Amino acid sequence: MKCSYCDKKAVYHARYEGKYYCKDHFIKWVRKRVRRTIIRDDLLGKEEKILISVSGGKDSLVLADILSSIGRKLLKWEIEAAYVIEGIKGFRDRVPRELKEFLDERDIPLNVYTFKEEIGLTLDEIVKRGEERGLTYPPCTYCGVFRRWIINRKAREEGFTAIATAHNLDDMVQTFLMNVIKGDLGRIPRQGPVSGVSDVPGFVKRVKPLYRIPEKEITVYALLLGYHPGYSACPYAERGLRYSLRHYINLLEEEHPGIKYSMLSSLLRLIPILSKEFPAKGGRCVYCGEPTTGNVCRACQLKKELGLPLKHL
Amino acid sequence: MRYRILGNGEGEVDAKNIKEAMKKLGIIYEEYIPVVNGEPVVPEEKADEVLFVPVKYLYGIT
Repeated sequence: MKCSYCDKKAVYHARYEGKYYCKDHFIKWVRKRVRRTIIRDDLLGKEEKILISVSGGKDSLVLADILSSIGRKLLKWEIEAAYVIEGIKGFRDRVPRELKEFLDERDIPLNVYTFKEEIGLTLDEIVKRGEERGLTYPPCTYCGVFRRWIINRKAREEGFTAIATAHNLDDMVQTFLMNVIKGDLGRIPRQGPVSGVSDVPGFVKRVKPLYRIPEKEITVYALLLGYHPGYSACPYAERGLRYSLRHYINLLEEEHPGIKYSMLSSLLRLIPILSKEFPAKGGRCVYCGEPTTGNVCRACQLKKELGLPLKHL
Repeated sequence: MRYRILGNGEGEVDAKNIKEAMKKLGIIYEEYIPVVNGEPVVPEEKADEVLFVPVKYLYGIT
């Protein structure tokens, strides 16, 4: 099969738009869509200091590649990456060599933070402590909350104007349906391409430049860049509701190409409607000073339950 | 024609094209990237050896 735009061999078929892409046109196509998303949704301005949250997985590295290709050529963007070592023995206990090489090639400085230094315990130790204290949270709860807390705080302290995360179309749609299924409608307004408690001083906006790109296209992009991340799965990963939804949404997309985009469109239309029903309340955590919707942020709540030291500001 | 699946063990399946192979293997196109010589391929394209890379194994925490 040939590319729809030139005579070269196609490497990708976008079924939802009926077009074929060769390697060069595929890369240009993805970058163009991300650039258009950034402009249309006003995610980033001409001058920004951006902290990219990287995991070493394909999504965050594709994000780093695209932002560096867009921002360095046309705009005054200062880009750095943040990698959090949670301390999961044998899985996330060091910086992967391939990640360092990938970022070095694009002149993106890497900031490394660890749970041990920032929280006081590794994730393995936190999970053990939680079990000893009778807490029933899954490991992913501690991991997600503390990772976000560390990155938000570091970004604020070090003068970043935006935190970029690599949430893709599949992530958006899965989370949207999870919130609907669980009846957690109050979370939907916070699911937009720009999120956070924006009326709090010192708040660093969080942006999702890849939110209109399907996960499969990000994988293809990574493969075409020659990046093949390791295949090890997190030992704490669970096959929960998200896993099932992912499977069924992919089945639907196979039968009805474009359905993921339809769901995204519904989400984007619902956000302003539900924002009125569930307005964001901005404040600062009485312990750490981080933005929160209550008096105590989720990270400090978890620290308290784990018996970790806290002190008032 | 040979087809290999990464992450689900390696096996062979006799099929005329990638789409037919995927059906025989019981995999969903959206969840897998068919790859030949390190590059993804369109599903209808024929190849001597196809590697199916499951998207979930390339997935990292973001």
